[in-house]
Amino acid sequence: MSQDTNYIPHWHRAWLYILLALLLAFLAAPIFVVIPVSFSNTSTLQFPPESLSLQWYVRLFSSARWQSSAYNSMLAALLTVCCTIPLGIMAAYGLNSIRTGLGKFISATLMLPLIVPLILVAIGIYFLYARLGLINTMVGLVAAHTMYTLPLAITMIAAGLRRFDRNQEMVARSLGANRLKAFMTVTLPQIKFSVMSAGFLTFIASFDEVVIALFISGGSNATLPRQMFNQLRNSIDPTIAAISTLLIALALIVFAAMQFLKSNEA
Amino acid sequence: MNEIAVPPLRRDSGIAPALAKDARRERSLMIGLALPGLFVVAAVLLSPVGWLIWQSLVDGEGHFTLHHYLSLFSEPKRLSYLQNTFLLSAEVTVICSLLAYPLAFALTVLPERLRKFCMFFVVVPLLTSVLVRTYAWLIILGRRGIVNNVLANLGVIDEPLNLVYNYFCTVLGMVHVMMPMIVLPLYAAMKSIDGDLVRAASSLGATPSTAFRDIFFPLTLPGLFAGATLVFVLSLGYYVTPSILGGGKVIVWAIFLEQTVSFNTQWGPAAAAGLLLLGATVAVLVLARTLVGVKANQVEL
Amino acid sequence: MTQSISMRGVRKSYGSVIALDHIDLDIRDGEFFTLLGPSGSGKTTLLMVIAGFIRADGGSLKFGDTEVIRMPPHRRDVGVVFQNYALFPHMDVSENIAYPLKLRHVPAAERRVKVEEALKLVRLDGLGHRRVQELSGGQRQRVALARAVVFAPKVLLMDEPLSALDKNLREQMQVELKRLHQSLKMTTVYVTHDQGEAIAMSDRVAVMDNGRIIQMGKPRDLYETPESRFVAQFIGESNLIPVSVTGSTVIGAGADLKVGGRIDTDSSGQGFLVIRPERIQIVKTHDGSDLNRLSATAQEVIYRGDELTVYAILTDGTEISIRCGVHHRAVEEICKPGERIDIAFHPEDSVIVRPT
Repeated sequence: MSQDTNYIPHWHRAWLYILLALLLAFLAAPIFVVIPVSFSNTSTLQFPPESLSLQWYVRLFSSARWQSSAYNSMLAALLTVCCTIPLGIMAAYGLNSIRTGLGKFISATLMLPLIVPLILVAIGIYFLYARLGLINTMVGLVAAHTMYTLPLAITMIAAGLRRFDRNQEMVARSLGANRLKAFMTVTLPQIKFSVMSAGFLTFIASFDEVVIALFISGGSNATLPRQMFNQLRNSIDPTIAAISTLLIALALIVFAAMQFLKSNEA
Repeated sequence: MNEIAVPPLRRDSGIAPALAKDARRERSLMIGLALPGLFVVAAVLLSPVGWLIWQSLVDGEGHFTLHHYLSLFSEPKRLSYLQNTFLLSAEVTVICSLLAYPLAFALTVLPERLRKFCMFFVVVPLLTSVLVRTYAWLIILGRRGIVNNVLANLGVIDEPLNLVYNYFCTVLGMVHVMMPMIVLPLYAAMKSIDGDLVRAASSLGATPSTAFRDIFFPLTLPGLFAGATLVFVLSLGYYVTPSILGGGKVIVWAIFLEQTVSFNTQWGPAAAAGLLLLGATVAVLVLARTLVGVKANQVEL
Repeated sequence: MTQSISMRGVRKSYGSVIALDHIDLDIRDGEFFTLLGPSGSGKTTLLMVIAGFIRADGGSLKFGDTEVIRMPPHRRDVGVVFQNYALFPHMDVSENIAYPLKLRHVPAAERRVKVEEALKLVRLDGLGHRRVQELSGGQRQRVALARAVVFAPKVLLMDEPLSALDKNLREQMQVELKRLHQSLKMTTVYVTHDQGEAIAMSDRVAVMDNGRIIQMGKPRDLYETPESRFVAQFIGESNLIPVSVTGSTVIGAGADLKVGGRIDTDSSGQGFLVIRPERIQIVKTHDGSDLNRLSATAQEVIYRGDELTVYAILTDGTEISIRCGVHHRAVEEICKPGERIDIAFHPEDSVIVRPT
């Protein structure tokens, strides 16, 4: 597209670029508003802050409640990655070889978590866990988040597998490797960037997930988003801004990691 | 015909069934690899939803009834929640489409480096917690937020305006959350259009605007519809943004659902309310598929 | 030790499409055997069945005396070279070649020696530490070859290995592959759609079409005695002249023809006489010899550098081409467009095939 439309002078497009800048500002600005507020010295949401301080970070890091919820979210996200990625690799690999009939049906089923409204999923899980005694447990949360993140992971890993030259796996097998060995020594090393990207995405999706956590994580196993959500509905002090800043940092880290992995895979 | 004498073909004794068995075994192995994932989805998604379906169809004594569904419509207030939900989703979808189209188009005409820079602003919000993005609007539009501050300093207002906790703010927040979901598929669709087509049209005498209208725009429609369907479907069941930015004044179906769960001791009413949402989602997907050919598997990132 | 391959009734279908239709085939130990055919003829499917990547629906496949049809690929001991080389990009050249040795738990020292030998064999000595991405197409091809033979497999399979190379390199690699085969004496099955390549390199060739072997034999026999119209047209260029055969009389293009080669017609005696363009001469006068003679009208002469091609039309309307050396200056004089010319060919140089 860049060539074929270049015959239109750029200044004819000025309106387009101005609109682009405004839209990007709209998309990104809220994020950059949060960061200054987190360094404010007043307890009201004032922008720009009158003077800078680290008091909200100090408060954040001295609060046992915030600390434990951050720890819970971290643990849940890591455990979710550990469950989702192996399951995702297996499913993507198996379904990559079987693309008709039953395989298609299974693929479609595995994508359901993307389509069923999250609030309904959360309520259903809440009912189920209430019966199984899994409410407010780490196991229950990780199982729910594994289900929730699996379609994303499968989609990304399957994309990696499609780019991978299947002849290589065949050659490896003819050279004397069984399927598993061929996968581990030839296929996996070459889709590792897709797998790692899927891992990062799974981590952040689980870490930031609100709705399911709202219903089934509580007590000593409450997650950070749940804690934040409740706080937001009651009072909005800048401690939230401090947490938000850290979450933005996490998003940036994941973005950078995925860009890095993408450039390596090419 | 060849130099080596071929002995008459020995009808393969049992090798064909054995080979068929091997083929089935390999197929089973491949299917088997998907089973653990399938098990998780079945256990944590299908079984609870199935259970909800059953609960929505039986009364306290376990007899079949449509009562829970019918009672959803007994109060006009509930109908208005449903109306709110569809209206909000439709508005968000339309606004997102109108904004995303020029944004995605601009991204395709930008030079590579600048495009990467701009992509950052599209993708990073997608990776940022919805809570953070919602919270940001409270800072911007709050009573002592940026907008009120600027207006007060300019002397336009004496009293801070009430900009948050209303319908407008909810739409704004939702549009912000949903934008990347439509920009990315639309951008992908525009990227994949063969530039030669537009060039060919211009060489045949089409002005830039005719070429755009007759060639480029129709080719981007599938991407636009896919993105719009995704936004609409996600908006229908969206909970977080309306419940924070709506300030209790904007009751969408998801909020009603959450309240039903919290205030009811029985599963039935909540189950029916939830399944209505699922039904609406499926109906939209089916409609999108039949009307404009959007397949469910396109409606994902 | 390499081994012979023998197949009986090997078949494979995908739904209603028959990819392999009861293939019977014997490939001798140490033979360079080529499967030749257009795309979709089943040649690659057959190769993949030998390698074990595609499971046949039935039949028997033996390496020597061992039945391997159900054996998984990693136990078959076959070296495979793919068209796209399929080198492992996350390993360097040496690691690629050492991969099959590692899988066989060859000790590191011995492995190094064997890798060096293999590199020398394909004339890449000293490039062991190159990354795969740094190699040219021809070099990648050699690495793939070294990797496929380093573990002394029972058979070597090659799937259009040269088709991704440009013309000059391709011809050079043909010679090298042939040389390599002569030094290793390894049973080799080679798949190609390029008839020139098949003829130049193979001990024997099987021509495939629609999942069947149409004709099999030495390159010379295939070229000189095609048994069907398909083979006549697929291998080299052929002129096909419609003829009708009654008893020992062959009538074609208004003339009584003598045929020295194989005669095969349909039930009503219809067939095509096959004569190669380079076996036709342009003659000046009707002199008394036992050559077949026909009249034709010259259409065009094309100068090709190494030869001249004359296009002409026989009296029955059949278009034919004739090739002659560029030193025949007179040809261009004689064959002015529209001029009547006389052509002749030796009865021994022609065969008759069925119309279909």
